Amino acid sequence: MSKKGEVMKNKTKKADFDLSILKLSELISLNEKVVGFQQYLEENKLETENKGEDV
Amino acid sequence: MPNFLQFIEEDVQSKKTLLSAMPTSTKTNKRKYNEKIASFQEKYEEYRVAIKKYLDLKSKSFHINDTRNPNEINEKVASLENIKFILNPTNGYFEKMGFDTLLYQMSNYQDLKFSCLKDIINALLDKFDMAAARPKKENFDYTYYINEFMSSFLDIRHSGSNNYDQLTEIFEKIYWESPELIKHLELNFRKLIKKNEKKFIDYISKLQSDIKVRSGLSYESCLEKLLVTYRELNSLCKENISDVICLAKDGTIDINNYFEDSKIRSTTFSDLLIDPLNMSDEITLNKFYDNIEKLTSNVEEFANYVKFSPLIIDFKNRYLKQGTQDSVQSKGRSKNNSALKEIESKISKAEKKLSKLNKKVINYKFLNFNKKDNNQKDTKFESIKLANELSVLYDTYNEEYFKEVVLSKVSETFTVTDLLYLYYSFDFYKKTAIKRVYEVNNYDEIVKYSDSFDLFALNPTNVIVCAAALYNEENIARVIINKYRLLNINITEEDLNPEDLNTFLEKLKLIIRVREIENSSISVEKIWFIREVNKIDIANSAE
Repeated sequence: MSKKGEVMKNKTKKADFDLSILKLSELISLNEKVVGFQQYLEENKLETENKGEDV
Repeated sequence: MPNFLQFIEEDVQSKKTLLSAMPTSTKTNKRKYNEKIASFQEKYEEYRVAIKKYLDLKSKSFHINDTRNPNEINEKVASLENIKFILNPTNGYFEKMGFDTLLYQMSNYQDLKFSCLKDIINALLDKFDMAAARPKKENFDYTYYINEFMSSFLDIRHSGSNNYDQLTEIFEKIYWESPELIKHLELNFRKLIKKNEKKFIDYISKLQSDIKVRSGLSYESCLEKLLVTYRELNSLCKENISDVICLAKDGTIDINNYFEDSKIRSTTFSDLLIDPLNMSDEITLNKFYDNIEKLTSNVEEFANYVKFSPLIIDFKNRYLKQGTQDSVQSKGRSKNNSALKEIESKISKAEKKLSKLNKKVINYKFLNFNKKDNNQKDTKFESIKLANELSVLYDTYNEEYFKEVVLSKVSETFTVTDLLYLYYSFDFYKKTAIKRVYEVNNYDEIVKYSDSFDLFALNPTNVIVCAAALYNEENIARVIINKYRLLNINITEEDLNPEDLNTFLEKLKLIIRVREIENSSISVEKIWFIREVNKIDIANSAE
């Protein structure tokens, strides 16, 4: 992506979600949910080497 | 504008559903599944970083900077403490020169390294230099070994090389021949101090005159000024909102207990009230808070009293139970005075004998160093024996000396605070008492006890111990309880049980902190937020 494109994307992100409307407890909860999902993803990765057979 | 929290909740759910629906039976399926996970991870890492940045900024914006600067006032206190130390009428030149502290250190040499011993000796010699009483090699004549050791020591000191490595070897060699070397050195210094007594008295006297002229203070006016300055310092260093934020941030206090709907907060308030309080009445509430602050200060003082009560009891048993109070003051004193003089005279005689004896071996060293003489061995042995006898005499002398000081001070109105001040003025005896009473042998631990004792003794906010007569067995806890119950504060004897004091103090501090938060620009919720953000940082740094 070009530099110009990156700036645009960031701007869009900013416009899409305004964190300042969240309460303090919601901000902490938001962080917990994001981190929690990251952990979920990490735990749910599948082993691929020497396992399973392609059909 | 969409709510990001809501979006994440839905997004997580939909992504989990998507993942659960993906086939995973083949290698290709698994690879695709993992690729999907990786793309989600990338996105969510972006989210996490952006959110964390926002949380950090927000948390930082809530912080209240501590703008207090106690340096200036601390310097003022230190300067006044120094004036008070020099003008202190309770002790004499021996304590003011710091000889008691240094000799105590030396008498506990078993805990010290050679480098510490070297520092103590140099510090002692510095004091002699200050008073223009520099001792010569021949003045260190307590034993042949002392002379040998100190001659080398003085050579190095006066050469200005500061390389005492060679002396360590000499020390080790001598130590096996005369293991009481350091004890004898202490006694030799005691003898030299006594010999130069007038020079030290003159030195201190001049120092006192200079200080009085320079500061324009007498001892009494210094105490008054110190009290005011200490109060200023206490008020400046009182726990404030930035301290509360720090305590909450690092988890020392649980900020959840400070929310208005916290059960712990509400029961802490209600437990401390005899009759319920109208919390909406500002005047009544402020009065309650003020009383809790005073109570906290009293309980902290009481906690110190409890900590040092074994020392107080020991003092009473040792010095005040020699009959009636009248006889302690009159008969006891004169009897003790003569006992002290008798020991002094015994020491003087024995030291003269010792000096005569040592002259033979010390001179022998210079004049007949090639000759072997059995008499020399006998004389060395005899002098060590005599020095050891003097050591016992000095122990008795030190004990009698303090008894004499105590007896000149005690009266029926002698209070706990007078005792604190007495021990504060006589460091050697305070540390000796600490070692005896608390059965601590480690030097650093003794110093720790001693420092915390001095802090207690110097605390200008002490009020209870100032009034509590040492002879009176009245229950200080009961005095506190009665006073505060009159002010509608529900305090019980259980609260002041020594083992429960810290729990009670924490309850009081919770109330004071609630007031501090309410009077500040920050809310409990914002402090909670700061704590939560810090917890995220701790978790991140642990990974």
